[in-house]
Amino acid sequence: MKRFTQKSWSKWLMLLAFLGYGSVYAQSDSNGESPVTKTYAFKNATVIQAPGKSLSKTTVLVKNGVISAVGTSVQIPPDAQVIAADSLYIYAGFIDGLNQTGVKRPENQGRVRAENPAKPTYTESGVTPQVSVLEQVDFKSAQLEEWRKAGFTTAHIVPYGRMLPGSGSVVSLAAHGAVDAMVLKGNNSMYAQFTGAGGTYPSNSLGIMAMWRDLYKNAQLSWEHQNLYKANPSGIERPINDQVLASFYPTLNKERGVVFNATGLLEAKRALDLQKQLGFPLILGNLKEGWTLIDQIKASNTKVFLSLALPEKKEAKKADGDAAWLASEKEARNERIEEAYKMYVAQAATFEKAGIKFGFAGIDAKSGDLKKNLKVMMDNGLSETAALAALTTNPAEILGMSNQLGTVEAGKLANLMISTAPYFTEDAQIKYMMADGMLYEYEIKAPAKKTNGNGNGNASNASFDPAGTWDFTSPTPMGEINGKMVIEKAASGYTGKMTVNTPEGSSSEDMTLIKAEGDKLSFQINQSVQGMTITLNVSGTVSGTKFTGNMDTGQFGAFPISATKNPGL
Amino acid sequence: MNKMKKILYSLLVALCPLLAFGQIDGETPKPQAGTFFLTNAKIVTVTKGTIAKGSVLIQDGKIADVGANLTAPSGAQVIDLNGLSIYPGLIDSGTSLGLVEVGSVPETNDNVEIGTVSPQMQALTAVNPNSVAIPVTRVSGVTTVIANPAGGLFPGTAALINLVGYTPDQMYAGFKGIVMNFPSSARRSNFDRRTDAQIKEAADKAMKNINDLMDKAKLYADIDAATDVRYYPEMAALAEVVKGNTTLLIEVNAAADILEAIKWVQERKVKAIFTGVLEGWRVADKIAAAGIPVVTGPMLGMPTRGSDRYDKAYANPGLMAKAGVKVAIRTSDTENVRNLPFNAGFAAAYGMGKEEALKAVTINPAEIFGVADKLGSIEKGKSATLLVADGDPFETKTNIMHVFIDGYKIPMTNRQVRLYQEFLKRDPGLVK
Amino acid sequence: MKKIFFTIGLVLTGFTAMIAQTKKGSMLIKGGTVITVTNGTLENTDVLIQDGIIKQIGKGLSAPSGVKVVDASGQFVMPGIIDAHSHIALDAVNEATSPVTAEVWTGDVIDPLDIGIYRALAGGVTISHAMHGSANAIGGQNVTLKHRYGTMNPDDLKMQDAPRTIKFALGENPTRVHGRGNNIQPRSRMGVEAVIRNAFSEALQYKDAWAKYNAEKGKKGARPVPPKSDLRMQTLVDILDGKIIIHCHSYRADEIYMLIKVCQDFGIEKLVFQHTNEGFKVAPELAKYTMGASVFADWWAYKFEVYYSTAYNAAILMENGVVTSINSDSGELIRHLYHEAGKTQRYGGLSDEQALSLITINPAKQLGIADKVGSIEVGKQGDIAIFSAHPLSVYAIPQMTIIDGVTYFDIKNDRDDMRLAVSPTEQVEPIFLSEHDHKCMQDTEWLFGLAEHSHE
Repeated sequence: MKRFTQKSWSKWLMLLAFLGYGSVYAQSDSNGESPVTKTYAFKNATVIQAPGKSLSKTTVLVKNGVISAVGTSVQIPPDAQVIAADSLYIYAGFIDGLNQTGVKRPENQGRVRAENPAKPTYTESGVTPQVSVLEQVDFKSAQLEEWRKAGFTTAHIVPYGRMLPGSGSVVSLAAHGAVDAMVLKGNNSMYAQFTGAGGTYPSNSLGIMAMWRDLYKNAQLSWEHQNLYKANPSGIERPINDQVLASFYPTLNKERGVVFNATGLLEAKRALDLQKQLGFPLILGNLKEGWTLIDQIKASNTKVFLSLALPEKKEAKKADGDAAWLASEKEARNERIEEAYKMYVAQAATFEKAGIKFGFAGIDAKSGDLKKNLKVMMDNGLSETAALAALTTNPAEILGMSNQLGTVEAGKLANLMISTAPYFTEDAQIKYMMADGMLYEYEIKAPAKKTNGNGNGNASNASFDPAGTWDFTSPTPMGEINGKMVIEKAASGYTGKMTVNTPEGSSSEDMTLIKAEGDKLSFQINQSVQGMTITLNVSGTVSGTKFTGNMDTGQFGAFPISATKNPGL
Repeated sequence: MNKMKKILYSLLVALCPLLAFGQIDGETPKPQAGTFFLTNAKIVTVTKGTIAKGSVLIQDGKIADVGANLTAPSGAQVIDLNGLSIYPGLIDSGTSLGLVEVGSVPETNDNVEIGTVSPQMQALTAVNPNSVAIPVTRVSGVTTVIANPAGGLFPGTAALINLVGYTPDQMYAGFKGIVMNFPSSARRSNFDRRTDAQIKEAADKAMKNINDLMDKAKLYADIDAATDVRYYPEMAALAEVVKGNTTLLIEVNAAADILEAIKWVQERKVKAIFTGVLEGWRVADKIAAAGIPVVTGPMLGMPTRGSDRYDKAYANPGLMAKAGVKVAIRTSDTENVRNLPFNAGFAAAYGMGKEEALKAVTINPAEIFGVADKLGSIEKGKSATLLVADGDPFETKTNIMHVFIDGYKIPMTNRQVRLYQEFLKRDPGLVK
Repeated sequence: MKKIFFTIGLVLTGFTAMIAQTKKGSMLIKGGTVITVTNGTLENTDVLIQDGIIKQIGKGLSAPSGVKVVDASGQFVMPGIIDAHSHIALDAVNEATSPVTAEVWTGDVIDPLDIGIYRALAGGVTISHAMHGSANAIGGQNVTLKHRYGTMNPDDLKMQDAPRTIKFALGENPTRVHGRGNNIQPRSRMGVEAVIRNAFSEALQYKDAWAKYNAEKGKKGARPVPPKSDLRMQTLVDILDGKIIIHCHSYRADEIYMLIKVCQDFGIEKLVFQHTNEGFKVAPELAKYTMGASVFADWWAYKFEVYYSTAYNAAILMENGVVTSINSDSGELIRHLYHEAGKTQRYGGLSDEQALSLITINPAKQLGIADKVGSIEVGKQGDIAIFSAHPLSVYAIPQMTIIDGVTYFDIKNDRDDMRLAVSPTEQVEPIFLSEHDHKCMQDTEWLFGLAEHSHE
């Protein structure tokens, strides 16, 4: 009999897990939520099979999570749920090139003070490439549904952390009920950021650039040492299994790319410089100001996910008062702002013109803004074909998954976005999403009466309930701080406590003057620092479960702060 | 035994100064009073034109006479200036001199108090007449400065001081004003990342606070006129502003804030001087129309906005002066108040012109602070506060040869000069 | 086959040239008073720059065809001003987390969009030494920049032919940040010396380990295990090997003397002192053993270690034969270094030529670029500043600033708003009242534990 090696043992375990997963569907479902069949036929639809390739009166047959046929004369099996799709448009499900959909920030991942700041551990430095994003995934997260509703079926997700938070994975956004089941491609990228470790090395880009070079060089040496030992251990110092350096091996061997979250021109340039010096395959993720880097991006064969977030266009305010200098100055200034705004919203078009295939990154965007932002990009020169490619085929290719994702073709995974009209038309609404073979249906709203602006339906006096537990973070010049805010309803108004995680432990301060009006939340903290009391004024706006605002420390500056309300508590 | 000890002790105490004296070499020059006859000089009076060759007689601390054809009275110390130039002493209209000794050592900083409303705090009391920076400053011809308190809404009362004397009273030059920091819509620094709305909110709050305080001060003044009021030094100080007895030195910089401040001054009917006024050029005509004098500086500063032309800080005083604003210049410095003439030089070069720039550091501040009867020009009867230079005092190449403050001939030395003298040719040099 | 190879070669050269080449210009500057700094002052003289290099200096030169003429009659033409100590165009200054950070490099964090670059140009400054901050005993490596403002590419600002330099720092800053802030050495000036000596000693061991490995590797049948790589140690080895010039932030005479001794012990000769407020007390030593001192014209008393300073420092150093420069360390001061140099005429009576050497040829020597810039000489790079009056006069106004024969500042033609990039959303432009403050982060350290950039 063949002995179980460790490898085959784990294979067996995986098989067991898979069977177990399948058996979920064999159980009865007292809530009546599970589907009757896993075979679906979308009949007589307009299928946009790939960007620029449209098929009419076409049926798409899905079986066990796979597209089994696409055509005009598809045999519909008897176990299929048939969906009349005569007036519907079927697209490949969208792929988000870089996001943290469903990823939860681990507790206490704030600013760390190393035991010996001059000789920090990897973890203290924020160098944890051996961590997998899958360790941080919450498969119940409402974000999965949020992004699915916007048309996305797949996302390349990355972990929270600092300089090297860990590896990213490509996951399905279907409600799988288990993390393992979500994974389409595990740990396929090395995620990198220009986020310093606060009071610990590396605290900013200076240290991060240097540390990258050091880590890379030592990974090469360690790889050499390992091979030397593997070839013949006799007389060779035993190599230490350094998990951090080992995480670099696939990158050294060009099997795994580095995804840099590089929004700004300077960050992106620095990532490109590291790529040039070290030679790893690079993906620039979340790029917002990349238009001047096109030559270097092309020359280095760097892949790109452009940010889906766009600058908010504000109407130019009228000059106040009677001062003529104000009016003329404002005019000149607005001209430059307008000019700059154009560069940002035309970034995608600029990349298209340069012949660079790019995908999109949703990491800084709101799912609800997708269509609005795509329209802005298209109004500024992006073609429909390129926009669709950036949502489907390009990210599939960049992530090395073209044979599974990106088009509506037989054999590919059943990831579909089905809309009531051509997606890029204004009236189009998503009727169905199919993610990994699971079907989601959405209510179609009667065309809304035209309102001014972009349909922000919140009445200005609509209130929200601030009570609950919020996780907050704030990037200060000395690094990110984070912690919790717990707000409780009191007899009149609210009481609250803000807990800040510091290297020395966490400290709590009372929140005072908590005010919630309209979509605004504000409060005050009085913090005692070295015998002096500093008043922090925090104020900002709440949208859904997200709070974004500013923390004003008085003479020591003001910093952005953002928080997410924890629904579980 | 005890008695013996006491006697010995007092003997020692009595002997000590003698012993010490025995170890001292050389002499320390001191400011010297007397009758001085400065002759053969070009005299730039500022207010009465320039005398190509003339004399100034200094007696009892005052300019006893000025003219082309004077003769030295007997007993006067005659100083033949042989073509050198006499200018009025330069006035720096905003500094921390005497209040701060070493910037980063908090124990030596006496310009900021706890609390935001402390108008009664007196800068003059805290001025250290023996600050090492004072002799370093006055040899440059800067003879008179405003010592400013800082921080909060009403940080305290500033004072005009002459840079000679052993007590604050000896130094006091006749003007005090209450400093007020007008609520600002500007960012404090590059690290201030509040939104515009938040900045405005904070400014509005501060403005309301100021108005409440002024209302209270008015109430205090009204009650005080009728009856005894409780001890309330903050209100007592502000009441003098309400009554028009004390001038406000209003620190205001951003253009929109300056417009607000003009409105506020007019509504409140207070006596005011604007200080800072870095964006004054944007609203210069409005300041001129309001007739509010301005203390501005430093010139050697950055433009306030990224989009502003690079030289806006240099050009600001000239642009305001052209619009008809009465402008005085300040360095806003502590240890380097000696750079006042260079600030004036930059203002002159970038549009103000030499003559107007000279006024901005002499007669203009004297008038603004109400001490033009004593300072600001070379005129008979004024305080003998002047400098003698071998050229244009705004030029770095020029040497300041003599300085007189309140009639005292100032020794042209200080710790920095003494270090030069000791170390120019060190002995031992490289080898012992 | 050969032909194909040739074409590929051509394409490749073309490509690298495209990346490495910055703009080079030609112009004839006519009729100015030319202050060469190294060879006297020449009245009514022309300077011809071709392809970025000074080709001719003389009277009555005529412009080759296609070369534009700049009329400088009545004006003063001097070498582009060089600032040996600056932090403009950087978006991070201090990696203040360890007392030794030799591996970091400000060349990694250049910000070409900084409006400060243009403002420096408008003060006649063509080159600045963009330094790491002073938080660490051994700080990061610096980068020498040419102010080729207008590019979005940080690489275009680098002066590629300048040698490597590194920042060291003594005294209050490193002891405050590490000793008082983090409770690790150095806490005192004794500790600063120890930290530096330890670092160099470890670097020698590191060098040795690699030398052994490399020697072993060449031998037949040998299978040596590579030592760990450490760029921090490697950088220190490069200093020991004379490949990097030390620029050391220092104030007190004792600490200056200390580092001179340490460098002597380790055989290091390339050493420049920065700030050097008490340099005048050890002027003979500085003259004999170092590449000079870069000082402030008159800064003092902003912290305790500069309380016993004198504005006569530069004059005493010059008279003692120290290669002396005047630097800014400030985005504000850099705009009028010519005026700062002028102060040495009041404090110590330096001649015009001496005073101007403080901001031209002398900083060039300290940065190791004196063979390329720092004076108006045939063969040097065409970096020029043109002034309305003698540059040491307080009334002088810079008219034009030229780098490699290309005009980057022109008082007559430049628009007011010279920002390269603006925020796409910022309706109300921020107003900064204290941007010029050289102590900008000093007071926030205790709040955040460490200084982001304390460069005082």
